[in-house]
Amino acid sequence: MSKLIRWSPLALLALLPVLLLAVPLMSSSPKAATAAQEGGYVGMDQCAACHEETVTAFKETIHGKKGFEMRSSHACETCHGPGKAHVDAGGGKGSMKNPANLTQEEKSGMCLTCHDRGTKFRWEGSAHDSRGLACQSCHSIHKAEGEKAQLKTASESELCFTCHKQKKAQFLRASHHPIREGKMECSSCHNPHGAQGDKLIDAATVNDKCYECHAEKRGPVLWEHFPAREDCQNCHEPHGTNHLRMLKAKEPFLCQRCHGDTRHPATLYDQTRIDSVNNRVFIRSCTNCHQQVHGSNHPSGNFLLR
Amino acid sequence: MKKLLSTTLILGIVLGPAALQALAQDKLVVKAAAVAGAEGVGETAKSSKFFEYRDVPNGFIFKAFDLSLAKGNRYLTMNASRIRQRDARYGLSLGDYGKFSLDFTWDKTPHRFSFESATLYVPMAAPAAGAGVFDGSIYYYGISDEIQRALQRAGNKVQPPPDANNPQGTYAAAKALLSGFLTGVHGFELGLQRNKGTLNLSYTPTVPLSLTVDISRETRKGNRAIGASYGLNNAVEMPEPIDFVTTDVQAKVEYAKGWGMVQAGYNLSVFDNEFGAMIWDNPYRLTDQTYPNAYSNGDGTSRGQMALWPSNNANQLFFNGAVKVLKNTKITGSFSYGRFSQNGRLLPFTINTALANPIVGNTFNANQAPRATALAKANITSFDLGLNSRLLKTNAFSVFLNAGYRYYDYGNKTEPLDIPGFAVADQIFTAEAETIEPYSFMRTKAFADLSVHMVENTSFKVGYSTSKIQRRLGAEVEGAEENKSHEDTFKVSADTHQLDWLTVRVSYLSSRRKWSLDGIEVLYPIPPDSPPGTPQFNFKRYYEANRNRDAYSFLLGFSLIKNLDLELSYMLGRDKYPTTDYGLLKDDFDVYSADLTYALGQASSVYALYSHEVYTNDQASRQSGATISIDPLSDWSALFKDKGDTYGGGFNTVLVKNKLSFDLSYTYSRMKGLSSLYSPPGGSPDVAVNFVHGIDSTKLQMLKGQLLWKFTARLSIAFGYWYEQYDLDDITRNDYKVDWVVAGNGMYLGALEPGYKYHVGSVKFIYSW
Repeated sequence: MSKLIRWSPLALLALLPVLLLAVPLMSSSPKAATAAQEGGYVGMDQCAACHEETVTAFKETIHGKKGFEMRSSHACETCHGPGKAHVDAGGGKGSMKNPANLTQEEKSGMCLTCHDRGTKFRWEGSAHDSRGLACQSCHSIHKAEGEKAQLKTASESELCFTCHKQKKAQFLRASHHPIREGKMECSSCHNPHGAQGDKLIDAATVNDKCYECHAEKRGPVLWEHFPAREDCQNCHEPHGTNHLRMLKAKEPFLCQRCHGDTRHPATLYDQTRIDSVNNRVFIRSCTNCHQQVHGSNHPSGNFLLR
Repeated sequence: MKKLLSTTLILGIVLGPAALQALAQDKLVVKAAAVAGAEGVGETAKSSKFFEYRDVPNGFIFKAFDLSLAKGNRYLTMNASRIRQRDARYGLSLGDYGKFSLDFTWDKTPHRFSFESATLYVPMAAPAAGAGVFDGSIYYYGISDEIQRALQRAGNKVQPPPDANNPQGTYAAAKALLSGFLTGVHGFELGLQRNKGTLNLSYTPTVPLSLTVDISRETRKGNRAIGASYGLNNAVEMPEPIDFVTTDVQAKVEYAKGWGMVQAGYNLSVFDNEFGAMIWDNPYRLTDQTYPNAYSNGDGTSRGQMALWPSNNANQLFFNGAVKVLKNTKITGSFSYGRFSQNGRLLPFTINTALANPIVGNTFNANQAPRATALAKANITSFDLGLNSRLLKTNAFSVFLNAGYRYYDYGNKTEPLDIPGFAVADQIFTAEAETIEPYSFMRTKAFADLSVHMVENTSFKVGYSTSKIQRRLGAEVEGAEENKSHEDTFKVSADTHQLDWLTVRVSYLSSRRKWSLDGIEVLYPIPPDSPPGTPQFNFKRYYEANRNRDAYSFLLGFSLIKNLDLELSYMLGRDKYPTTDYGLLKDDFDVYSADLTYALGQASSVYALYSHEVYTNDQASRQSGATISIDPLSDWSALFKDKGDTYGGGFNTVLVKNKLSFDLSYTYSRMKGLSSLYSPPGGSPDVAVNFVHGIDSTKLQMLKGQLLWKFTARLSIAFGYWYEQYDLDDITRNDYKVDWVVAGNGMYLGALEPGYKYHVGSVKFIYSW
């Protein structure tokens, strides 16, 4: 299996020239780029006559590229509607569709004519949609600040934090995922367009998402730690906490929320234990010994000691 | 890395000529930018925390390089950032818009834990497979035999009684001797390096059809701290050897038309760990022995052996679909079936040869594995169905229904394993036979929401969901009570932006969770000889127990004056466990925030923010000896309150149009962990002694400023300053030492992560063409 995996990237790459050569054979002819006078459409060149700066900037965006013609030949008028009435009126407001004046459903509907596939097919009824947000709440066709996805802000997290204030503060905590270092983004775990999991987690469960980067914990193993197998968030707060390893509470107290056994698990670890440098409190606390807290594959691992 | 470089080379050879030829046929647009300069880093105290996920070099920096070649719909871009640093990122993209795209990235992320770790252990050649020793790949940390011999002699609890050549020692003497040896520990950097290469190919031969292939390979190397104790009293902290490779491949095909879309695909993920086990020496023992209980200090085995993360893989077939059954009604669905597999070689029960035959009258050998491999696997079945429909549309409003059902089954099919007992930390053997059974669970959720969208940017939503998790250990037993938690949730929200100057968002959630074994299962039964009428010790585990949850959020946004926006928000959550007397009793949070932005004309803006967070949780338990205590005077409770304050602000302005701009930002974040412990007098503990100050508090300050001078149309110069300060006050980490042997039976890595102050000044030249 590992040899297959090692060679599969190169095998797939070897197929690339074949695929690329097949493109001209299989691709349909792009729709004609010339402006069509049918249905009141006037063409992008006519728009540029008055809105030169906007059209020039638009051409630099992904929507302005020729590939857009695979979906529509009407360029600006795909979203703004036919422009003949606007041109005949000499410009001005009211003679053309202005997305700012549309309902939320209409705004999103404009984009969904093309973007209702891929990772966005669950948009309708999703958490953001049902709270009155439209595509234009986060994305901008003409005044995008971000490098990717035409976002209204320079970075993704900056955009999400405009509403999700608590998360903004949590990512400043000592133990955090590397969002502020630029190594991850909110979309590393969430799909803001709708997802199968709760809280827009882009996986069937939280654990399935965590295993994408933390595959070592996927197992399964002989001795499972049940709450860890069910939900990583039983112990961890993935947005950031003050405690080591993004734990929700400090050990041993976190563990003592579930373990009230005889002897040391239920002992009260107070200042007297600090004074005596008790190894069940200091440094790793419970996990000084019970290090296999995510489960153990050792035959003697029932107390997660090995 | 070599494989990825060769992959890149193949890419360039195969695709480069085709791309360049295509580009050469039309007018080529070339854009590029490079950012390079110098950085000076001043530190008050070196701390790994500042460099946790990044490099901040002192000296020449090559910050970024971007190159873009484009003609019409074809493009080739290369970008690189933080070049030659351990947090570098490189990317190569080429494609034909709307037809295909090929993206390659190489992303490096360090994770530094400490610059100040030290250990007595050194990596040594792994012992040969043999009695008790794992027959797979081992990482061995050793201590010289001379040290072990000296400590064993000093602390010898030899059985049978000592003689003149093998005198009885004391643990105290051995500890003191070890403490002396720890002055000679060698330092090393505790940390990991994660490098990930990804290749994404997306191909659209015709508009309805698209194919995507995603391949990634990540290596993670280094070490991180792990506990590795001897017995239940000797804590040892070791650097866990990390040498992981994770390879993921996904292939997906999608067909989308006006009626909807279908996707089908396959995921494969393979995780490889170079090492199956770690062995480390017990400094107190050169030879193996055992003794009556696992609490005996400085005794027992000469080595420990633990299982490291087993290599595993995951396969998954998936299907997604969306169908517009009516003009305003859409059904979406997903189905996936997969398997997690792990069949690593099993370790023996113990490496301690003194436990070879631990059960009298039984030939069972604890120095052997119970079976050759783990035979661990789990079948994962996931399914969801959704319906979204506009039920009604009038001139004033529309009504939408969103409903669905989700199902997730984690069916653990690991072969049960019968064991006659187990070793405790390689010290003693407990002859309690049991069967290791697989743990499975199933989740379901059914939900329905009604949303009303008013014409003027106002929506209301009311929803209900019912979810369940069903847990199973081993095979189903007919007639047995099932372990289920069932939760009903009600949600309502309102969002409006009817007035240009006012935005209001409010939401409320209420859920009630019931545990099927509440009142049936007793986790820790009181001794059978307890006096009649003694109440049971009602301890519950919060992740399954009955829970009442209420959560509110309010957000108000004002634009009372032109260009001035103010947002105020308040969120609160209350979790209570009404039938739990011991365990987690409540878990609350309150978050207040205020954000202000003001645009000072076209060229300047200022912002300020503040948030206050309070996280409160309350738990209780009862201290017990060898049996569960029935004395309520031995109860204790702990209330924890984490209080956070975050302040921030920023200012940016154009000083000279198209020539000079300046921006400045500051953030201060403080989190203080407070606690209040209580125990009634007369029991054990007698009276709780509260921590003398907060248990863990942190402060983070960041100040960043940049003056950007557009020297020419192509050349800009940025003068930057960055100040960052971090303070940590943690009662269990502040005095982190390698040697706590004498004081607290612990030999740690001394992996300090101290507070820091860093000043970073930079000059960057940005050239674009």
